[in-house]
Amino acid sequence: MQFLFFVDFALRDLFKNRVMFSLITVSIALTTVAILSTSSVLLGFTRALEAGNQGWLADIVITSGYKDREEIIHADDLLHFIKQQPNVFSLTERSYATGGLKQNEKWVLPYQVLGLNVKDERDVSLFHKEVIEGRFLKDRGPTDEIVVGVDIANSLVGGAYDDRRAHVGDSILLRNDQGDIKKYVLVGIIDAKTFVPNSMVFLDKNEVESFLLGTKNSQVIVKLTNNDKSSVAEAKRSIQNAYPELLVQTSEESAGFVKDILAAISFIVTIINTLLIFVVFFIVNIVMYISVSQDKRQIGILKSIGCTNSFIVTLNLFKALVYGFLAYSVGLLVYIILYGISSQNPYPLLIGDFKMELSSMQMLFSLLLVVGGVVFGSFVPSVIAAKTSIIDVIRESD
Amino acid sequence: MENISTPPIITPNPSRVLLELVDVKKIYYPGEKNENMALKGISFAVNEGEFVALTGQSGSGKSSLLNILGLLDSPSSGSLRIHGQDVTSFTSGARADLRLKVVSFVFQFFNLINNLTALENIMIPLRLQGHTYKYAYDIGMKTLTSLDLAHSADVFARDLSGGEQQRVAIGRALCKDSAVILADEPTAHLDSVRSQEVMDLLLKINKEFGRTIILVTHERTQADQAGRCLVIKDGVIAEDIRRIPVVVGV
Repeated sequence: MQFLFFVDFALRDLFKNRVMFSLITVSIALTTVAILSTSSVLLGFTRALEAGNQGWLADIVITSGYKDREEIIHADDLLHFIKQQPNVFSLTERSYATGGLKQNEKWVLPYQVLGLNVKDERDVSLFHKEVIEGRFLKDRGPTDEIVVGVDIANSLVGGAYDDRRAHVGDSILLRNDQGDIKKYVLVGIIDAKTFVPNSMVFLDKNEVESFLLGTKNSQVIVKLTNNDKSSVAEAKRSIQNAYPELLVQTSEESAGFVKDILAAISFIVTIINTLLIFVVFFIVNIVMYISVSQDKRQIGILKSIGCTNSFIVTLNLFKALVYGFLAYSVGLLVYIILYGISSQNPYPLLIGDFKMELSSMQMLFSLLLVVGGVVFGSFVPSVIAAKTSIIDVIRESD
Repeated sequence: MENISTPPIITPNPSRVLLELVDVKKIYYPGEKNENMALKGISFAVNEGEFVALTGQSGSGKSSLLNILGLLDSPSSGSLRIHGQDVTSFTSGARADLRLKVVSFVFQFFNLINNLTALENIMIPLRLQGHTYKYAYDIGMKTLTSLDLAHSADVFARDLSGGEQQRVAIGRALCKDSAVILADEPTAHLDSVRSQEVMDLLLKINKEFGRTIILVTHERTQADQAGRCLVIKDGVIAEDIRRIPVVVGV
C-alpha cells in the first residue's frame, strides 16, 4: 500500500510546480540531445569513413607479402580458392602503376594508376557509381579512355582549389617509366568520397600492364555477402591460412589512416562527452537543490507526520528517476527529429556524405548516462532534504 | 477488509501514564556565547485521556517542551517515556514511527501540504500507515464530515480559509488513531469565533474520542477549559493546576 501511495504522491509532487518541472525537464532533455548528438556525430563520421573505404577496397584486400615483389604469384589459384569460400559475393584483381600525367602542357607528378577489370569491378567497388562528370570506363571499351579522381582533375587545370578543373573530352597525356608518352581521352571524373582514389587515374587493367608496365595482379579485392566484423575476420583467416605468404587484410586494416582519423575524432568526442557528463551532474545538482529548497516546508511537514528519512531520500530519488526517464524521452524525441532531418539532408564532405548515425548500444549508454547522472546527482540533495530539521521548518512557517 | 469506524475512539485508562518526562533539560547552542537553557529540569506525567494546557510567557519554554513531547526534538538531558518506555535514545527511524502511530501535531500555522486537497491531506498519514486508498478515503471523508468540512473535501489546502485549514489539520491529527494530539497555539491566527470553534473541537475530541490532548496556549480562557494546566516559567513548571482529579490506583 505504501508503495502505491509513494508513487502517487511522488508523481503529484513532480507536476505541482509546472515552471520548475518544465525547467528541469528541458535542461536535462537538452543535455540528452547533446550527448546523443555527439555520439551520433562520431558514429556518422565513422560510418562515412568506413563507407568511403569500403567503396573502393570492399571487405578484404590481398597483396603480395613481399616488400621486393608486388605481384601476387599464382593469382589464378588464389582467385579459384576464394571463389570456393562461403560468404564470398565477388572479387576482382587490380594492377597498379605510377607515372606522369600531362594536360595543357602541365605535368602532374607523381600519380598512381589503377588498372581495373571493369566488369568485375562493378560487383566489387563503387567507382562506377561515383562518377560526377561523364561516365566510367566501359567493360571492354577503347583502350584510349581514361577516368580520373576529382583531386587529379582539379590539379590538372590551375590550382588545386581554384574551382577550375579538367573536363570530359579533354586530352590527357600519360608517360611511363621509360619516357614513352601516350594520349588518352578523359571520359569521366569520379568523387570516391575518400582520400586515396580521388588522387588516382583509372585505366583498363590490360592497358596499365602493357603501356605503363604496371605490376600485374598487385591487389585482389574481395566483397563478402555478409560483411559483419566476425564474418570478415573469418574469411580473412581462412584465406590467410591457405596462403600464408600473402598479406591478407580487412579494408579497415589496409587503410590505416582511417583509424588515425577516427582516433582523433574519438578523442575529441570523448572530451566533449566527459564535459557533458559533468554538465549533467552540475545541472541535476542545481535543479535538485532548488527543488529541495522549494520542498523544504513540505518535507518538514511529512517528517512531522511520521515519514522516515529513507522515505524522503527515496521520494527524491524516485522523482529524479522520473525526471531522468521523462527528460531522456523528450531528448530522444528531439534527437530523432534531428536524425530524420540529417538523414534526409546528408551533408557532402570530402570523406563522404555525412549524416548522423546512432547505434542501439550508444542509445543505451546515453540512457544510463542521463538517468544515472540524474539519480546520482540528486543523491546528495536528497540526503540534505532528509536531514531537514522539522523544527526549523516550523519556525520558518511561523 | 479493514473495519471502518471513524474517527477512531480510544478508551483511555486514566490510571495509565501515557507520557512522562523525567528531569528534562534543553540547552540551545551549548558552549557558545549565546547558550540558552530553555528547559531546566522538567518532570511531569500525562495520563491517558487527559487534556493538558501548557501556558506561560513567550520564551518560557512551552514550545521547546512540546517539541520534545512530540519527538520533533531531543532533550539535552533527562528522558521521555511513552507508555513506560524510554524513547529518548530512539533512532530517527523509530522516532518517525512513533510520530506516525502515537503522536499527532497541530501547528500554529496549520502546516498542510498546499498542493493537496483537504481530503488528501487527511489521507496522508493513513496511507503512510499502510492503509488502502479506500480505507483512507472513507476515514478521511467521515473525519471531514465530523468537522463539517465535507463540502471542502476536494478544495486545495491553499484555497481554504484559516479556520478551515486548522480544522483540516486537526482532522489529520484525529484520523490517524494516535494516542496523543499536541497542539501548538492552534488558534493564534484565528478570530475569536473560529478560535472557540477549534477549542470546542479539541474538547470534543478529548471527551468523545478519548484522545489525550496537550495544548500550548497564551489564552487564559482556553487554559481554563483544560482539565489540567501546567504553567511554565523560565524553563520550569511553576504551577500544575488540576481541575479534574486523576483517578489513582484503579
